[in-house]
Amino acid sequence: MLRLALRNLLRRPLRLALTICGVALGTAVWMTLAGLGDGYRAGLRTELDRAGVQLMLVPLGCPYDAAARVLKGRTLETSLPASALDAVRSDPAVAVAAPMLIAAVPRPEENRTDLWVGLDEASRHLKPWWHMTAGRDWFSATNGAILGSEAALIELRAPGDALHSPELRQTFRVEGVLERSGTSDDSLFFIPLRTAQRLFAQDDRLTAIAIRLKDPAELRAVVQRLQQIPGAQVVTMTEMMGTFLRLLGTVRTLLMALAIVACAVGILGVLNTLLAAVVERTPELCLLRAVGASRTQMVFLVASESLLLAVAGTAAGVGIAGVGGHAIESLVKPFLPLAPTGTLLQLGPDRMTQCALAAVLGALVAAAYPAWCAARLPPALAAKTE
Amino acid sequence: MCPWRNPSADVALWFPGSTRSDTEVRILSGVRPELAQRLGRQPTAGENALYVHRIWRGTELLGEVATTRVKGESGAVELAVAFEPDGRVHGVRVQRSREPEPIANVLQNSWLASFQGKTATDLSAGASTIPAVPPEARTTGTAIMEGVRSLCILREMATRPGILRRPAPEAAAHLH
Repeated sequence: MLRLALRNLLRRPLRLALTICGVALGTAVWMTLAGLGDGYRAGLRTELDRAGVQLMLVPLGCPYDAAARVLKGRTLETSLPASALDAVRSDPAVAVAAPMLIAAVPRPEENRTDLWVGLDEASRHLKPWWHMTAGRDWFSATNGAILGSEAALIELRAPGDALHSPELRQTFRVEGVLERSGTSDDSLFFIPLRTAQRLFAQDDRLTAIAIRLKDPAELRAVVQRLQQIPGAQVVTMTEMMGTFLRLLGTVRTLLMALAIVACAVGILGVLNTLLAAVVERTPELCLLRAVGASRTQMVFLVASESLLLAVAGTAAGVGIAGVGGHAIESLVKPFLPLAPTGTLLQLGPDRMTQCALAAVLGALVAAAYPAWCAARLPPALAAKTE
Repeated sequence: MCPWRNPSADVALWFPGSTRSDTEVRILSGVRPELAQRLGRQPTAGENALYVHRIWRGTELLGEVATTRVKGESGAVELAVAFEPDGRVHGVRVQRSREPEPIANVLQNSWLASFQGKTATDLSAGASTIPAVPPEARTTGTAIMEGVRSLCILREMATRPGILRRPAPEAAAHLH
């Protein structure tokens, strides 16, 4: 039956190629959009997990903007009082509370800004990926500095070297260089928190406090308690991820609508091809009926042709998504909020299986009417046409 | 790779009257053994290609500019070096540095002016051709001198016949 179906399809190579192209286009659009969405969600979760925190205490303002800025190592317009840290640490459910002060030093002649991040010892417990390529993994002196990999590369620094900031009039001793993490940490200068507070005249002020809980199940109760701290607000990483995904979701719905239209066009293309083939081959199909082919066999014949078209189109579509998806990713990525590093496009086996099942379903839908027409052809018509 | 931070000001200072400029990439990976011999060290990966900014008045070549980044005492020091068409140093400017003020003051234009007219051979002859700097500025001063010498050598090698030359992509032309 399959051989007969294949032979029937190959009779009209141009029509066959165009139909396959339609199916391939729909599949490619669907796969690319779904793959990008999956990759974004997974990448965002990984980045937030790597941040090692469940909550962040930031100054009043837009909490998501504040948390995103802190995660990306950018400064905030306002700051928290150091007393907020005591309040957080006194909460029995808090396992780690890591204060940080982020300060920007513009260097207009270089078109760049040096970002200095003051950390205290607690931050090490929140950064499991804090590994050095060289040197010590923590400050041994108040003028110690740990550099992100890119910062060290640009400044040609290694552990033991001096690093001067003309704007701050302060010379630091490089104690360590971080391994490349692919995050914004790569371009940061880390210094002890107290040093940062002194240099930036922010005594007893903090940009944010990153928090890890002893038991994540207590999240809601802890948030309610920490919201009481004056001048501060709490952002959970789950909320933050949800906000970004909701933003993405709106765009994704629109794009998926386009994908559905593309798939519908593909299905209609298959239907059109099959119907035309049935009409063209009416005498042959009647002859088949006359020599004993059952209605069910006629249905199977048309359905087989439809499945062959769907399989070929889907295979081509997956190939196109694999090749062209990365180009689309590079176009889309700059516009994504908190875009994760690395490749976003994920064409995993789950998506492939989903796509194959959708293709089979689409093929059966497209084959239904032509198969019904073929099955209803009267065998007697064969004698008339002869 | 080191960007050219302020091309318009540098061109106005070094080559007044210029009408246009272009940027060429000269591929030096084919002459690495000789380069290593002349530099007295293994060339870095960045030294496999030299970005040369050529400055013109009409069809007359006024000179060339190249940039480099060297390891100063307190951070990276970025240099822009202008060359005469015959390869002599026309001018040197510190594009950026993190040196403390006393050291930065020593390594000012008056000291940098001593590089004018020098060739790779002059600079290879040692510190005698360039005025000495105070001990606290010696590390950075030596790094600058070595950086200029290396650029002179690279530029000299890059003008040889047979060296592959390509126009730099538009985006890269501003960066190097």
